[in-house]
Amino acid sequence: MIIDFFISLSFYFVPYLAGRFFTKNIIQAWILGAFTWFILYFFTAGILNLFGFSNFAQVIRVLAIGISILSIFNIALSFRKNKPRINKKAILIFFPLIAFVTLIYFLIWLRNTPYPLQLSWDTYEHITLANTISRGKLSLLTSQISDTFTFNSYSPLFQILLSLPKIIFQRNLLGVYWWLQYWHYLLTIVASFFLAKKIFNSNFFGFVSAVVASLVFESIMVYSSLFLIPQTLVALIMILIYIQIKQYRLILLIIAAIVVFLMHYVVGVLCLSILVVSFLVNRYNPSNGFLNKVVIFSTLLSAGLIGLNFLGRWQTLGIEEASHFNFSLPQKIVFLFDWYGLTLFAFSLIGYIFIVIKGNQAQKLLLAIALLVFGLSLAPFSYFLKFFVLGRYFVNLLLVCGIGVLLIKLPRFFRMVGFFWIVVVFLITFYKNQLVYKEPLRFENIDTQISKEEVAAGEWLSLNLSKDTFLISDPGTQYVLEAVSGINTQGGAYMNLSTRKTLSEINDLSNKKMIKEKLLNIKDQLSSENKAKRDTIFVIGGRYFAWQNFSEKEKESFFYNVWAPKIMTEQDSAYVDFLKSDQDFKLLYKNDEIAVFQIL
Amino acid sequence: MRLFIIIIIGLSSLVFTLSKIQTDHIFIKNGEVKTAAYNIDFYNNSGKLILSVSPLNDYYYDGFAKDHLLTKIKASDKGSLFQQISLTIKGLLFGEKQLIWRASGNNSKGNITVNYSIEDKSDRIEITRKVQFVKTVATGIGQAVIFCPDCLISDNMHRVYFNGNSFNGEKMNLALKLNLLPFVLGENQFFPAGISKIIVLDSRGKTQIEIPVSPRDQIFLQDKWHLLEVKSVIKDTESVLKQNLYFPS
Repeated sequence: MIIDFFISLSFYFVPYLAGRFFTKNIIQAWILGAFTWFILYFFTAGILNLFGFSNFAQVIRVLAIGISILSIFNIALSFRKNKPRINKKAILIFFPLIAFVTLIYFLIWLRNTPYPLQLSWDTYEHITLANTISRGKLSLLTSQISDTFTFNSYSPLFQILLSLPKIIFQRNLLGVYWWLQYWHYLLTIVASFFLAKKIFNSNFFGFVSAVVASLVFESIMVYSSLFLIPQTLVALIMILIYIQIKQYRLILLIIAAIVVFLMHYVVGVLCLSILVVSFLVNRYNPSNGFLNKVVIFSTLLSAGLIGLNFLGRWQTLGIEEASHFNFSLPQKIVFLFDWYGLTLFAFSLIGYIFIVIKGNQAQKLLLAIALLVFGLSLAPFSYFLKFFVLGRYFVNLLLVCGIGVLLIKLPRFFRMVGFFWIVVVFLITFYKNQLVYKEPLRFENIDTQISKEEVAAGEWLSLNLSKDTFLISDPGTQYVLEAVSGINTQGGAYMNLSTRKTLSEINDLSNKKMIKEKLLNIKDQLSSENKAKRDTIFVIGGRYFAWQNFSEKEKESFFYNVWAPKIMTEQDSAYVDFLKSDQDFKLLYKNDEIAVFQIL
Repeated sequence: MRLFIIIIIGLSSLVFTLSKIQTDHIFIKNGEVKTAAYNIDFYNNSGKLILSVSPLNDYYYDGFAKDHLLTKIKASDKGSLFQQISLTIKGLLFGEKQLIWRASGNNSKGNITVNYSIEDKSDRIEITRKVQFVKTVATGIGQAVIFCPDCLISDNMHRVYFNGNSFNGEKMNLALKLNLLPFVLGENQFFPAGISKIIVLDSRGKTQIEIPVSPRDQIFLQDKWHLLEVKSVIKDTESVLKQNLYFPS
């Protein structure tokens, strides 16, 4: 656990140290470093391929360690020249902030989720991709690296950065990810603090913003603060750039834009649009009158986008899953109530009125962006709610503005009473919201999407079987096991229709020869992983039997999964005994939840 | 004034947050219970609908006359505002899981209000039906559950029950395959004495739910409606009936 704590820091430090050669600015250095590693990975893989070498991980490891040591040496030299001073005021500000965030994170959010268990379903696909990349398999298209990715909504940049700790320290990424989510949460709140401080030029607004940011959890599709995934990281990067946009030279801004785009194509484009607008506003300094018109335009456009809900709903992608992520307006409003209670609409309205009447240039720009992204997020298209991952930073500030203007001029005592009341209101809202999110994930008094027994099974597979082995199970089981063990599956949770049908068919079979034949006909979608001579293992367990109990329609859908671990019942164990009695199925491993068979 | 606005907005938000959403479903150890407009549904941990309960299916007995407890639901809700806030707070602070569903309507005898309370008792689910009669008094209540269409009704004595009009060779074979003794009854014929529990099985013989019954209860099956009824005698104008459901661990 402690080792993974330090290793998780390398996700941030290794890119930073690479970028530190080009700039001293922390954010800029990280962005440049991320871009450098993206280029280095492809360059190294290309060169090694050209000469027929296969020791990709070793080369990257040497490069990472070498670059990091050189950079640390460089920083030490620079410290000797310009002795850095400790900013006591910053410590006074950040100590309570970090303490508050840490308490919320570990005492409420992870109260029943011990290391290394996870509450984010997306974690596993990123670990799977990072594992595959660390073995030297690279492509600009994630779907060409692993068939767990059926759609290319981002480049592998995020997973390249995630593979760095894996390659350097040779550790399973599950525990590293457990810590990474905390760092992401902390950084999100720090970014929210700085954004509010910049826009409203007040530490008090910053603290209110930090409280709101840490206690608002978008518990469906968005997940800005609590889950580290490409969409949430790109939004965070964008905000950090936005805060310091005046410090960016054009060339740096172009590289930052490339990183933002590579991190997430769709959310990235929205981020870039806002960055361009922000850059232009800073450069051309538009008049107050012009910004008032922009605010009116944004209000109308936002209302128009939301109003589209009354005309219908449109599916933006031709995939089955998209239909499940196209929510009606009332559903989206219920989500907002879950996340904010009534505070969003009440305080934001006050914030809106204040900015329209008294707001300065930065505040009016903020208002225009908040309205546009809010409207876009509520527009009736599948997946558009994802845009709130960025929108939350701006919309929250509108809410913060509403709270801030009510409190800022009060005498100190009453201001503190109001502030603590706000903390209590958001704390209770968050507590209930996170409880509702975690309730379906409750397993043996733990909130998790993966159990200790599954982790143990995955680690056993990783240690005892070749990485060329092919694993077959229900979508949920193989998704989590592929991430922990690094053993390839057909599509993980995004198993294709043919495999789903095959698995469903074998549920009704009592002839073991036919079960074996059908299982051996399951193939990986990526031809390079479709090796003729490899071991095939069939994993059954509580999740598998729960999945088999789904209706046929549910089994064929990406949308339905067995999200939480399940224990095997006596009847499930009877099926394990049924397979075990056949010489074609060799039982390799078994615990209370999982049985692993090798198909001979 | 400004502080007052903050406090009022915060308070309204809290009342709103604590009184909504959660009260239409609860997650239980082995599944989920959800309320709908006319019924309460019980799902197992695979998301399969195992049972439904509704006053439209429950029965009302007045001597030998039998009617549905409600033939029409005029209104239903998930408890008063106070009850919803209280349930949420109990859930947040003590982890108690309870669902309230109130329905009012009528049958041929007059207006009736039925309050259902579903409580997770860690080892079982307790359904409490609180029936209030406005004008008449019933002599018995038939607590009905609608079970999954592909399920079978069995008991603790390894019997599987069918109605005579739906019994055929296929069902006979299924009973034999599951090593159960087929027992054929008429729709108005109650189950034999000595049963301590009813077991709902899926078509593979897997236990979905167990319902303990008392020796005084009369149990009826209507196979074509997938309806199982446990009839209990009552005496007062307001009667409270409890039914326990055990999900397999």
